[in-house]
Amino acid sequence: MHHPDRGPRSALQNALPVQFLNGGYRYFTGSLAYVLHRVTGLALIFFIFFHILSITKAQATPEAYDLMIRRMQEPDFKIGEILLFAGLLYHGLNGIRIVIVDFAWTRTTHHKRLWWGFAILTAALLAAGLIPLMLHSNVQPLLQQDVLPGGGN
Amino acid sequence: MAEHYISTRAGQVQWIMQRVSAMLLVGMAGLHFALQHFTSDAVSTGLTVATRMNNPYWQAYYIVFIALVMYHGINGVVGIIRDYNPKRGLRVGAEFALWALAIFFIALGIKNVVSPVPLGTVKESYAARGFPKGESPGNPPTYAIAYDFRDELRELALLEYYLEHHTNRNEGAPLSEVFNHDPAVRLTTMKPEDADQRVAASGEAFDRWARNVIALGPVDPQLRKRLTTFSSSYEFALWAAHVRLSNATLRGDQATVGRWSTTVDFKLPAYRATELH
Repeated sequence: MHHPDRGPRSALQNALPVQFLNGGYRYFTGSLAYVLHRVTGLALIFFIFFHILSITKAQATPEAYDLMIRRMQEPDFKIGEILLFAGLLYHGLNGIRIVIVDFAWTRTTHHKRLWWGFAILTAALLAAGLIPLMLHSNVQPLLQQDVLPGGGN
Repeated sequence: MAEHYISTRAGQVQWIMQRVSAMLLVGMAGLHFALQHFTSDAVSTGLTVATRMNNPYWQAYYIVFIALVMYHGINGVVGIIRDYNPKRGLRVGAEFALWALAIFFIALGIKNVVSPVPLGTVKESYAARGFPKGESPGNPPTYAIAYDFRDELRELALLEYYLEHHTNRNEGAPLSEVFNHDPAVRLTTMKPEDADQRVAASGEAFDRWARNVIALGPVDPQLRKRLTTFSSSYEFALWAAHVRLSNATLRGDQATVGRWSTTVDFKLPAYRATELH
């Protein structure tokens, strides 16, 4: 089961110029996890700067707070909210996985299975979390053309 | 085969602290996000947040949370910089700048946490804006804060047209002067044939809408499509249309929509009556 050499280059890699070959490094699930962890981590710290600054601005008066909340209910912020949720979820769960691996009591042969387990958990929680996120949104449901009081339609 | 992997850098303080803060943050950030985004009554109303931020236990929670978040985040960025092995001067400069940034944001965050708007001020603010007691704009907002009524006005214009043609009412000047502010809202000044065509085209959906508006009042603000800009002339036009509907209610006018006819029954919402900008 042990493959120290990850095999010959693929047809795609042979077609690429040498500077795109990444030193012959071939990506796999672990490196995807690593890249995503860094990307989400950097995105989250930038979000937190924005978050603290916007709270500072909104904290001036109750009216300013309401205006901020209003702005954050726009559809573009709803997309951002979903991205934030996905990034936070991935970074948190992958972080737990990293801690498990770092303080490993398991053999490395379990790492791939652990990765897939966490990937499935992340996907499931993401799908579950999107339900309340979208229920609280002001984005009109596509099929609900006329929303009326009293259930008239 | 059978390689055991245990990281060899476990002795480093920053490495271990990154893991410790991570484990604390998983819980704290999860709770923070769930409270703000998942709880059933969609919490980010001004009153709930003001109540929470005036609670000393929550203040302690958020002070710890902000400090941990900034430590974990900046420590992570420092780790990324070190991975690229820059020159010593660059590395020291970047790390110094990052930790200074962290201290600035921790200070700013803690300042925000320890000096929230007092709960009394928040309550007074909502009371002064005409919200019922204990209520504030929610997420989605239960009450409009500043609102563009363009879509509703199109529909109200359509309803006005209907009422004019089906109840033989004639009470002075039409709202067309007001509606003329927006070329999109000119239904009342259209030729009757064109208007008829437009009304006929809107069909069954409009009949349902008009039935509900006349029977139950305007569309529930919570369900209403929310727009981005605000114009006092639209607010005025909506208010004027509401007043006309209220007058029709007081007089007991009959409204006919299609094959269906009823007494106009319209209640002006309390917060709308006082909130004319």
